[in-house]
Amino acid sequence: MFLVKSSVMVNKPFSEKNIQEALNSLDGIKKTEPQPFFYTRLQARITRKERNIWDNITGVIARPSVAICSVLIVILINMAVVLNQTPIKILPDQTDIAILDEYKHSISFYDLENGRP
Amino acid sequence: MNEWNLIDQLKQGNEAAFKTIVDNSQGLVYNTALGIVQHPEDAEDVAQEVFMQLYESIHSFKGDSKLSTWLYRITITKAMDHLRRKKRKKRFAFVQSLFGVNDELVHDPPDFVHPGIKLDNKEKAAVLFKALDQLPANQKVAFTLHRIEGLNYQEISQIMNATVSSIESLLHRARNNLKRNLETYYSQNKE
Repeated sequence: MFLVKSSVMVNKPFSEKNIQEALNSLDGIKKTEPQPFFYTRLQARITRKERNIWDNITGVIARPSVAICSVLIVILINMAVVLNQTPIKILPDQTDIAILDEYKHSISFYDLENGRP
Repeated sequence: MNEWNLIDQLKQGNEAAFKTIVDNSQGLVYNTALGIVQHPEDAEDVAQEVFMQLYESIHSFKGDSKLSTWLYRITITKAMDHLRRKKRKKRFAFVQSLFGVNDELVHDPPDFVHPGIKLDNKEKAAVLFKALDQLPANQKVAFTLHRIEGLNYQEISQIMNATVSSIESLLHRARNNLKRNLETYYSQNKE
């Protein structure tokens, strides 16, 4: 027990000293500058960026996250449409009934052609 | 030519004005970005993005704050975005490696040593930057602006849209958390 205590007591000031030295290591730090010809490299990058806007659009669309989200949205819309669909009862309306009646009573061209001999 | 003239000229599409602004503020942008992303190439990338953003959105600059304050804000946003992107990429690469899609090993970057640190302090500073990287985003930003960019509380409060007292407490918490992280590091890596 005594040994453990004493080792902590010995190590603590040592690490405290290290911590203080590390914190003070930024004293007198000098400001840095980028490598020479920074403006030339910047200009080249600006020129590169002014490329066809379609490259950017296709780049966005081609992102896996965008593609997966789009597919999921399409699937969800389809599911919503299918689930909300009410069964349609097909009832003949008045016009259809009239046509059917007319058809029933009409004599077709074939009836005339293939009449009894 | 003063700052407002330069901004006016840039709004009119004057390329010379843009070049002057870039030349005058590239150090500010790069140094801040380097403190946050802790990687020279990434910091250059962020700095380029910042000036591209400036070029594209100078018309939305109303002049409520100084141009440098605006540039600091853009730099912080871009640098944090960069870190988030990098973290996401790393996580994705790890998942891919689990499924055997990407057999490349994902390596942790080597210890970052800021080029502006004195030679004697480099080793200690590398440990500090590792601890700094584990801080919450706003504490990391405030600490970087204060200790690496050398800004005072007033300037930091303007950049971070906060009161001076909240910046004080933010930096206090950052320092305490850094101490805790360093303590953990030194207890795990006893010399």
